[in-house]
Amino acid sequence: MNQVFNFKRWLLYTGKHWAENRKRYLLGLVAITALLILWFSFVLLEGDYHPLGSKTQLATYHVGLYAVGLLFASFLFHDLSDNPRGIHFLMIPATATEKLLTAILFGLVLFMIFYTAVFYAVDTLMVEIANSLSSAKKEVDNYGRPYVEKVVNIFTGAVPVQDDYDFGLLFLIFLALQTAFMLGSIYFPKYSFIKTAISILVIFLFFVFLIGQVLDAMMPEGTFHVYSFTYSLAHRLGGGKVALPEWVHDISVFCLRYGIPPVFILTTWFRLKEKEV
Amino acid sequence: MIDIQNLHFGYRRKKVFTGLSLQLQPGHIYGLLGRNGTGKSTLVRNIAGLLFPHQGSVTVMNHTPAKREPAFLQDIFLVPEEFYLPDMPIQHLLKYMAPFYPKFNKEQFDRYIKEFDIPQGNTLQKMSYGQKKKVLISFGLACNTSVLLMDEPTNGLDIMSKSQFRKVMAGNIDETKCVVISTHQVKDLENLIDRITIIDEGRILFDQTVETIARKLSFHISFDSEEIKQAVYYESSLRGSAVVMPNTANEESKIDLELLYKAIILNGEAVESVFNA
Repeated sequence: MNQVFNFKRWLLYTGKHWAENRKRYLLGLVAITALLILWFSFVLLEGDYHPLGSKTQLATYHVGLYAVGLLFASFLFHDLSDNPRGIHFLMIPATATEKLLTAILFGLVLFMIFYTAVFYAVDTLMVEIANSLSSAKKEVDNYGRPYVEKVVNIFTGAVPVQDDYDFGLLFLIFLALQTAFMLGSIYFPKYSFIKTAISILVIFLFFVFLIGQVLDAMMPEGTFHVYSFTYSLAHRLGGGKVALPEWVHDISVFCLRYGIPPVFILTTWFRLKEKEV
Repeated sequence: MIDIQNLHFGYRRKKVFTGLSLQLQPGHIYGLLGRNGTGKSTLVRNIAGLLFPHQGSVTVMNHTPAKREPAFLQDIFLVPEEFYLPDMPIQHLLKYMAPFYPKFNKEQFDRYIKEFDIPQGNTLQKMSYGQKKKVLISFGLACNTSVLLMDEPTNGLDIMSKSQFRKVMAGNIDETKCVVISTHQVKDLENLIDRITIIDEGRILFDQTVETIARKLSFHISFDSEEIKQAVYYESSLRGSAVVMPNTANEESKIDLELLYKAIILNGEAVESVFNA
């Protein structure tokens, strides 16, 4: 039998993981549902005018996704923080690859699917309630028609592909953070959520310092544009723009957008292989 | 079967092993004895692949444990001192765990559970610590792995359970299996182990078969003060002095493990001279 990955063994391991954790996962879904209902109810009670607008729905979806998702990811390898559980986890005859893939399946794929499903179930219900409240109040839109709130499409925004809304980018940032917190759950046996959050903040501040203070001091007067990888010289120096060759720029952007999660997943795999309890 | 060569291992501030070598063969139940904190559990975890040697090598059934390959893990079972069992009924434990062990035998498991008087209907979390430990021992035995490691298996078991444990263990060994029982409760292993290995300060202090011990040493109660003076070790009690003597007369006596252990720890040189003679 393959000692790196075997599909049958992975299915066995996934089944075992589900059997051991299903109560926790189902309770988690109930808790997310309750929190979303509570939040939307609060918004409905507090908001005077069109409280469930598309921006509120989108913000709720993403804040919830990030908060709950990252918290969940920081518990994916929580077993390793405790000796008896860690021994049980490591002694199960499955490879690190299979154990990691199971964590990814539950922590990233199924979490995303079920969170979105729960969000839509609650959102649809709450938008219905919001509409019945606004019809009772006889609210009308700009054309004098009865005002009707719509369930937002989280993939495109309120109208197909809003200019300021990029689901793909938000999702990629979420994926990068989610895999970082998954790695943190192995690195930090205790308080992994807080410690990972602090580590990410420190790394982020380091880059801000590096770009804003160190690199800036080495460059002629001007401004660095992070998103376009360009550097604009000050007007008194001629106002020129320094840019990377297009192919370097494209590769850099591609790596930043898609490269971070695989790097964290690979690091998690190595950490899992070398974990001792 | 288990080959440990020049093992060096330590924790951050404490060296545990500095060049330990040991070979364990199938067909035996090894008693790994020693005081608390002398490295018994650490040795067991090195054999199981939960800790990695800093220097030297550990080979188990031609596998390197640290790689934790499924082929290795499905042929070794560890009953740790502090253990974890998921919150599920016994039947679910069998359903989700047993398929990982190709030689698992359900009839054997049921027989052990019956011998240990475990109620089958309860979920594991509703069972007492001792009951859970007996389920784990039963499961480990029924897996029929070539190597069975037990770290303080009798901790938490009542008097009746300890005797049930000895009975179950005695009926399980065959020439293909190697059982290593690590404990500081030497009395619990009497009549069970056939080789005694005593670890102290990270080194092998004593390693002999029960047969050799019985041939070389004699254990009895003595009232003869001259004999007591010549004893390798003695302990006074109300019914005379329990002595460990060189077995010069080739008499048969029952090995008192506790007395032997104390003799080795407190008067190791004298014991060694008897075995070297």
